Amino acid sequence: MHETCTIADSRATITASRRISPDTSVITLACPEIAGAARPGNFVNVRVSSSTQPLLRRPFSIHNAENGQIELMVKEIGCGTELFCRTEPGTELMVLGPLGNSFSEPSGTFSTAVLVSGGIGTAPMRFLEKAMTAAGKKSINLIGGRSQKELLSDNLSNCRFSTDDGSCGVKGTVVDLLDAEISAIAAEGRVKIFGCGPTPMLKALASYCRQHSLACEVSLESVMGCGFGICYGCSVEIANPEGGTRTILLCREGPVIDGALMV
Amino acid sequence: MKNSSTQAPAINLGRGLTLKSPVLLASGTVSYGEELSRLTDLSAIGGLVTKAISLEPRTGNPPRRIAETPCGMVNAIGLANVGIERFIADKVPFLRTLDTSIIVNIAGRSIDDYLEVVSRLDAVPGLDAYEINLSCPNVKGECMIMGVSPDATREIVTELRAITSRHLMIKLTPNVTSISSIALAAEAAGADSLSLINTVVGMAVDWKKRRPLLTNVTGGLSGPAIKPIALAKVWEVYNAVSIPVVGMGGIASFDDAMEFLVTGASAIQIGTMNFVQPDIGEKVAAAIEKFFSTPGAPTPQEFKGSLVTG
Ligand SMILES: Cc1cc2nc3c(=O)[nH]c(=O)nc-3n(C[C@H](O)[C@H](O)[C@H](O)COP(=O)(O)OP(=O)(O)OC[C@H]3O[C@@H](n4cnc5c(N)ncnc54)[C@H](O)[C@@H]3O)c2cc1C
Ligand SMILES: Cc1cc2nc3c(=O)[nH]c(=O)nc-3n(C[C@H](O)[C@H](O)[C@H](O)COP(=O)(O)O)c2cc1C
Ligand code: FES
Repeated sequence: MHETCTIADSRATITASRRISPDTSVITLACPEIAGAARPGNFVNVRVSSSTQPLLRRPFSIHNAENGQIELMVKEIGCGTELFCRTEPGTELMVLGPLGNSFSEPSGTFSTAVLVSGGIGTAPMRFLEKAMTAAGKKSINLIGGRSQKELLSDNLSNCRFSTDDGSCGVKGTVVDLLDAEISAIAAEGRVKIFGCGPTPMLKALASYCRQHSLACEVSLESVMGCGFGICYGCSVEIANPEGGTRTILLCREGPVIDGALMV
Repeated sequence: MKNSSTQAPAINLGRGLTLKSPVLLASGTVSYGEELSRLTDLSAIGGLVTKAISLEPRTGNPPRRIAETPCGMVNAIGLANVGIERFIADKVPFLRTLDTSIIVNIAGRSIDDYLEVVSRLDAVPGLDAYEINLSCPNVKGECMIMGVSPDATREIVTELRAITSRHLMIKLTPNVTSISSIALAAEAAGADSLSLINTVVGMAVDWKKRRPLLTNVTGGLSGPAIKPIALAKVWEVYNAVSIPVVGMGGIASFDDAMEFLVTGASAIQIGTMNFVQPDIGEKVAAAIEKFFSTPGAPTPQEFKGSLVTG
C-alpha cells in the first residue's frame, strides 16, 4: 500500500455523465494534475455544490484515470450524490486529490488478481484491473449485489456474479462466489484478493481469506469531513500486528488496508 | 523575522502577539499545519491555532465522530491529539518553519494539567501564544466545567498568568447562560484576549434506526449554521470587556469575516470551512487586506466594533 504525496485542489470541468444503472452514473472530469498522479485505490473529494448546503465535500474512488481525465462511478444515496449525478456536463467543480493510499504495486509475487466487490464497491476496480493488465497479471472480477439490478460491471472484463436473490449468477454472497471459484483460480498460479464494498462484506471476505491463507487487501469506507487529514473525523479501528487494536485516520492511512488487520 | 513580509497594518492583540493579518485558522481544523501547507500559502494568513494539546496522547472518541447537519456539522472528536511530548518533538519543528504566528491550543483534565503543559511549552522557542480551551463540549467531565463557571475560569487564568509571560487567549464556550460574566472573569484574572465561540452543543438523529448519528450521542455544532449565534456572543463580549476579542463561528467568506470585525472582533478564526475549501484563509486574508488598503477605507482600528445600533 502506497501513500500519495502530491495533492491538488483542481477546478475540474465535467466532460461527460452517463447513466449505467437506474441510480448510478459514471461522471468524467477533466483534471490533468489529479489524473496524472492517481493510482488505483486513491480517491478524490468533490465539492458537489458551491453553496454551504450540502456543506462538506463527498469522497469517491477513482474509477479510471487517463488522458488528463478521471472517471467516478457515483451511486445516488442522498442529497450530495443526487446533486452530483444531476450536474450537467460543462459545469466546473472543485476536486481535491488524489487522496489516500493505493492498492499494492501490481508487480507483487502473485499471478492472478481476484477483484472482489459488492454494490458500488466496484468503483475502484476498473482502474485496478487496468494496472494489473499493464503489469502482465491476470484479473478476475467477482461482483456481488442484492439483485441483478445492483450489479455494476462498467468496463470490467472477466466478470462473475453473485446475487442474494439468485437473479443473476451464483445465489449467495460474493464470498460464497469466491469460495466456489477459488480452487480453480488458484490452480493456475498464486492469487491475491483485492476487495471493496460494504463493511460487513469486507469483514466476511477478510475472515475467509485469513482462514484460507489468501493474501488480501481491502478498501474501507468511513464518513469523511475533509479527506486529507485535518478533521480527525474518519477514524477507524484496525488490528495491531503486535496485538490489540489501534485507531487510524482512514483518509491518510487508508482507504486500503491489509485484510489481516480488519477487526 | 515573522510579520515583516507584508505592508498590511499588523494587528496587535497585546503581550507580543502581533498578527500580520486578522485571519487565523481555528483549533481542531488545521491539525498541526502540515497537510494544509501543501494546499495553501500559510504565510499569507495571520496565524494558525493547533489542535488541542493535552498532557497525555489521546485517541479520542470511538467512531462515528462527525455528521453533517444543515449548513454545518456536529463533531465528537474528543480531543484526539499526540500529547505534549510528541507535539514538541514531532510537530513544533515544522510549525516553526511557517512564516506565520503559532498559537497552541491547550486542553486539560485539571488545573495542574494546564499548568504542566504551559510550563513545558514555555521552554520551547518560536510559539507566539496559548489559546486556553476551557470550553470543549466533547469530553465528559473535563474542561467544560471550568468554562461554564466564572469562578473556575478566574482560578485557572490566575494560575496560568502567574507562570507564563506568553500571550494568553482564553477560548469561550457559547453553552452558558451569561458568556460576558465568564469573559469578565477571564479578563480580571489576566487574560490578554478572548476567542469565541467554540462549538454549540448539538445532536443529529436517524429516526428510522432510532439512533443518534454520533456514538457520543451529542457533539459540537460548527459551520455556517452557527454564525448568527457567534455574532451575538461576540457583540455581547465586545461590549463587556476591554481586551481584544477574536471572533469565530461559521465564517465562510470575506463578507462573513467583515461581519465579525464590524461587530467588535479584532481578529477572526476560520474553522470548519478549511475542510471544504483548504485555501479559504488565504483568500479571505487577501480580500481583507485589499479592503483596508483601498484609498478612503477605514483603518482596521476604526472599523472594529463600528456597528451602528439603535
Ligand atoms: C474512500 C471512499 C470512497 C468512496 N467511493 C465511492 C464511489 O466510488 N462511488 C460512490 O457512489 N460512493 C463512494 N463513497 C461513498 C460516498 O462518499 C457517499 O455515498 C456519499 O458521501 C454520500 O453523500 P450523500 O450526500 O449523497 O448522502 P447523505 O446520506 O445525504 O450524506 C450525509 C453525510 O454522510 C456521509 N456519508 C453517507 N454515506 C456514506 C458512506 N457510505 N461513506 C462515507 N460517507 C458517507 C456523506 O459524506 C455526508 O457527509 C466512498 C466513500 C469513501 C469514504
Ligand atoms: C472537527 C473539529 C474539531 C475541533 N477541535 C477543537 C479543539 O481541539 N480545540 C478547540 O478549542 N476548538 C476545537 N474546535 C472548535 C473550532 O476551533 C471553532 O471554535 C468552531 O468550530 C467554530 O468555528 P467554525 O464554525 O468556523 O468551525 C473544533 C471544531 C471542529 C469542527
Ligand atoms: S477525513 Fe478529515 S481527517 Fe480524515
